Amino acid sequence: MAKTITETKVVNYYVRDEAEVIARATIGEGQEGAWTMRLGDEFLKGGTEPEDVPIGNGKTLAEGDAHLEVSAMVKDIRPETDRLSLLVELKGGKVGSQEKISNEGDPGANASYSLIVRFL
Amino acid sequence: MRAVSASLAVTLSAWAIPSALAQDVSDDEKVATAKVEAVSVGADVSQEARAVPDFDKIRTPSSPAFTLLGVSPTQIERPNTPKQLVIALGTFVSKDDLTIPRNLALEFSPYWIWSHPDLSLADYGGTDWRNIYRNLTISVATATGPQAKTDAAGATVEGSSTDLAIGARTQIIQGNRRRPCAERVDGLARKLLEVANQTSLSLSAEETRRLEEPFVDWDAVAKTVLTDAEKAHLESVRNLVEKGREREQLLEAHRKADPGAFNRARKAAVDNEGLKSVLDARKKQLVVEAKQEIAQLDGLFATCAELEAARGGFLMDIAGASAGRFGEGRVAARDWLSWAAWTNLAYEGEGASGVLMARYRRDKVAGAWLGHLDLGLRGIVARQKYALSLEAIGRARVGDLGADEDRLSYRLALAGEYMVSDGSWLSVTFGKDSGAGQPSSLFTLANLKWGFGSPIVKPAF
Repeated sequence: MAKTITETKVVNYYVRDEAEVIARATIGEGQEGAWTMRLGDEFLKGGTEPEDVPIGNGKTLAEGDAHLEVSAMVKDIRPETDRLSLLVELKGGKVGSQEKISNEGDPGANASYSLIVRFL
Repeated sequence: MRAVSASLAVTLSAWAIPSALAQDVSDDEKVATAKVEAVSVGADVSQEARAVPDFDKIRTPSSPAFTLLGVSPTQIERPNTPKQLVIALGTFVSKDDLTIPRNLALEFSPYWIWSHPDLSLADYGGTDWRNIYRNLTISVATATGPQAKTDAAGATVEGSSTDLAIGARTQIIQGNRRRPCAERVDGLARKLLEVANQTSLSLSAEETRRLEEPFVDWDAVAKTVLTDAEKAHLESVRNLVEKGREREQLLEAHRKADPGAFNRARKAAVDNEGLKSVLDARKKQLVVEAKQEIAQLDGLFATCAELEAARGGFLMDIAGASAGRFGEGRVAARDWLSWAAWTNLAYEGEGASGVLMARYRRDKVAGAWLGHLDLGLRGIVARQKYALSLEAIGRARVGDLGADEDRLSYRLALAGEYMVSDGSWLSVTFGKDSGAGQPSSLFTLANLKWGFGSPIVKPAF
């Protein structure tokens, strides 16, 4: 079985109270994989290609306990690179944000990532 | 229907070679290196230029520098980070001077040296002009050999020289969109999502609060939510136990009065690094528990790798390379050796394919440039029970030729096969080869061969 890299990253995201927060996940480096988004333990959306996902109202998210988790399973299929990346773009905050998890794997490696976004 | 994966490539190429390097060489050095070329390179190049090449030899090479230099390195350095590239190119520096390293084989893609987390599979697999630079590869090769040279007194002495070639290749027409494995293998997309889901931390709000609790900086929370009067009051309490109890009561009152604002302050006071360490351990455990599903995923990707992944439709590649010779590996003692440009235009369809190819190559032999232009065409039609292939290659030579040498030569070959029974194919090939100085008719040189066995028309380009 190919080696599986795991990584978790925890970030804070300062929202605008009146704004709708949107997240977009991209499996980068031209690699193949899938992502899922959850707010707390509630499943929101999953896919293999980037897609804007509405997460909720800024104030509600900031005052609640649930965090956004973007989880990804990435597979190295590229001969050009062995990098395995997950990029999450966030909108609806005081500033736009791009959060990245990236690792160099062996050829054919897998990566299992979780990005935890804490709304403030 | 038999699947055909051959490609039809036509080559139309122009590649400019900078001449600054050659112009920097002093006249004396030019004379010295020209003598060496006459000994070591001239004969091979001249002989090679007389013959019509094999069809496969004029196709756009994946590593043009290696092809131009005629080397097949067993170990190729492939840096894919800026640091690795700097180390690889560092071999060109000796002390404070530039030098030509011996027996170097280096290949890299400038685009992929850096990370591209925003490049999705759909973007890269599509037909996009940006793939021209994404697909660009640079190859660098050196080969060192003995070299006879003339010393200051005019005597011939033994030395060595290093040939250096630099090449580039890319695809400028990319055919149809490359389908991802998730589209080509049943169940793969679903399994990817399942595994992503299964390895999610999936923390409920209550669990999140419980996990965060040890990492909350309550001093920071108090600083945010307490009023100035409350802070002043706490400052006045001398007993620490009493002070802590009172602070707890004040915070609880604020939590009840405005749970949202209080929670915001509490979340802001969590040490994310501490939380991450707990979640990392949990994530690793989830991945261990999903071992079987991940193994199944690997199996599905292995299935995908076995499937035909080539793009269909029109494809066009271009490549170029140039080579120079460096006496004793010194940059100052250099001269041009050769240069070449290649291009293919191919069409790959279901049951039929074709490729047009062109190559132009010039070599410096005994101080004079000789060149040849090769054009090739191959078409294949394949069905379940039969296949036909037509191949034509022509060569035009440029430069001063001997009186008995032809400027143009060509080769034609037609192959057909028919499946007589399962696994047994009747194959027929027919060809004409016009060699240098020996013009002949198609019929006198016709060569008919019959054979039974495996198919001979290999449609892959």
